[in-house]
Amino acid sequence: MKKMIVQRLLHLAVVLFLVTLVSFFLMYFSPGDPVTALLSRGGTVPDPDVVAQKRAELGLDRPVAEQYVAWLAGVFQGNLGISISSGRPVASEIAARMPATLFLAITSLALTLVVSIPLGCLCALKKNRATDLIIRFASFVGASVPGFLMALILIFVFSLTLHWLPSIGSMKGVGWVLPVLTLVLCESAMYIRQIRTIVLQEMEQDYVGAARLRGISDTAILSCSVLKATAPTILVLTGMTFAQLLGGSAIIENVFSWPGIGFYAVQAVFARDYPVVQAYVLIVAVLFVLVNLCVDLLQARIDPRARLALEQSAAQDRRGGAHV
Amino acid sequence: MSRGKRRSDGLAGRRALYCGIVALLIVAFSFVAPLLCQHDAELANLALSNRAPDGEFLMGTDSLGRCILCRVLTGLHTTVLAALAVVALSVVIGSVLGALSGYIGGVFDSVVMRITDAFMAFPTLVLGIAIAGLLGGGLQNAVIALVVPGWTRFARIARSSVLALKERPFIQAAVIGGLSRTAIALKHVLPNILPPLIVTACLDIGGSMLSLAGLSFLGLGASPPSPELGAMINQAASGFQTAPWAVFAPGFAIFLVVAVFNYFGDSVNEALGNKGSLFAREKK
Repeated sequence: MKKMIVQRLLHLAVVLFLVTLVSFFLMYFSPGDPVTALLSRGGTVPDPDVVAQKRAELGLDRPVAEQYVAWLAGVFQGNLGISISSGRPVASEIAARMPATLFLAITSLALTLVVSIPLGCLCALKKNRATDLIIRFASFVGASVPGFLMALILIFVFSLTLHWLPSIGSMKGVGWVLPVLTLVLCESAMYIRQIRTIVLQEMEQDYVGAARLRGISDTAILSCSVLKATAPTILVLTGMTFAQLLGGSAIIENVFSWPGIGFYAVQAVFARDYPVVQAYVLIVAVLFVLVNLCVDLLQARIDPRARLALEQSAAQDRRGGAHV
Repeated sequence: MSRGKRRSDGLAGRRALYCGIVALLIVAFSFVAPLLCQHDAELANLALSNRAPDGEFLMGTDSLGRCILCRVLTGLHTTVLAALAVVALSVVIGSVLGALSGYIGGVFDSVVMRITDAFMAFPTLVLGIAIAGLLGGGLQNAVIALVVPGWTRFARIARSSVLALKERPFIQAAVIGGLSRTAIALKHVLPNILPPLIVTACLDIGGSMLSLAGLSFLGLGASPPSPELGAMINQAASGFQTAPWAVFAPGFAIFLVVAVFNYFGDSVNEALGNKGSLFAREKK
């Protein structure tokens, strides 16, 4: 187990290194010079001397490799650069907005689980009966509606028509209800289907048949054995959803002007504030990787099969790829 | 039992076929749809702005007085084709890289797989927003922005299929039989790695449409005035209270098209024996 964790961490280090490379070199996707773009806002043509001075100030006149090393060294010290548009450190700007995004992600994830696991199980128990068909139809519809449209529909109903809830999101009062509701509806639509599939696959196992022969009801089998057996898979699903929510809720944050990192990043994209964009992409990727690591380790902890699989893949990596 | 199973397979196959026909009809319709317009989709006329749906403008007009029905019909084309382009490019790039990686193995394999891992560490939309934004908007850039994170899944699938195939006796028999590498690749490997790739690609179309619409909604997709469904919603959202139809008409169009392609993906998946991963689709 310990060896496996070390292997996993080594692999993680390589991936994280590549992640920093991708994040850093993103700005080379940008056509034109960000400094010129920054200084020519408002339609004025900037003085070449001023541009050169600003470039030197931002360290953009140095060779690319040197810039990358300097940037990476900064990242290790918690310095993500200076925002071009606000002039403040990116790290503190992001830190100030992180709680809002975490709050949104955690609340939505918790509610999604509360809604989807019972409904998914209900579908599996009532397979192909009316209850199953209705829930499946609803979740199919939900999975085909774009998140931003869902948000706008909810705003239309609850803010503009009924005047119950504000259309601008905030953590105070009831401002969080609509953003959370949007994400819960979108995520549950996917989740219910996946949980139904997982549970139905497990119900085909021999031990379920044996339990049925002994006269145990499906409900009892489901709640006593099947849920326990499917817990590791549901855990992986939960980890993936959480990671998705951390970054993927950027669009919903924008609809509700939610004060999180997604909203901030999109504003930065339009302002061509590339240090912010780089930092956002890097932070979300690192969180994504770390959440997945936690899920893998947790899964290995609760599921001996997963532990075996992880150890085998670690052993393969050690042999330098078993398939050569 | 086997007979019952076969019958249900046939049923799933037929369902996939019908869904495929409907999906193809939508693609075909998106080509002729602009011809059905009786108004100019891009002509602004402020005298007609924000008209509720009526006899002349079946879906009303937007804040610039443009016919929404025409804009939806024209925009359909952009959305559908761009999503298909995203999936097609991702499949081609991903499968070629993944198959080569599995076939060649060794250092090349390790390098390609680490790069794949690195790109998989970014949620699709996060990388999509960053790239589309830095490239500077436009539909073509939005497609690129979604292909960059999109190819990884196909690379993984192609690689693992090739690795599994390499161990199979019929491939080894072909090698011993002296068949050339190209012939083996085309005759034996390609047909056998295709099904999981096709299923995943079909499952991906709906999701790609949602991502593209999302980017356009943020203002990072098709640039105005050319109509695109997500961008139309973006422009109409500010006047939501006065002209809700300007949001709901393109919204309903996106929903319908995505639903058809999602249903198509599910039915293909079922017909080919659930080869698509359980986690294949993610909500954007």
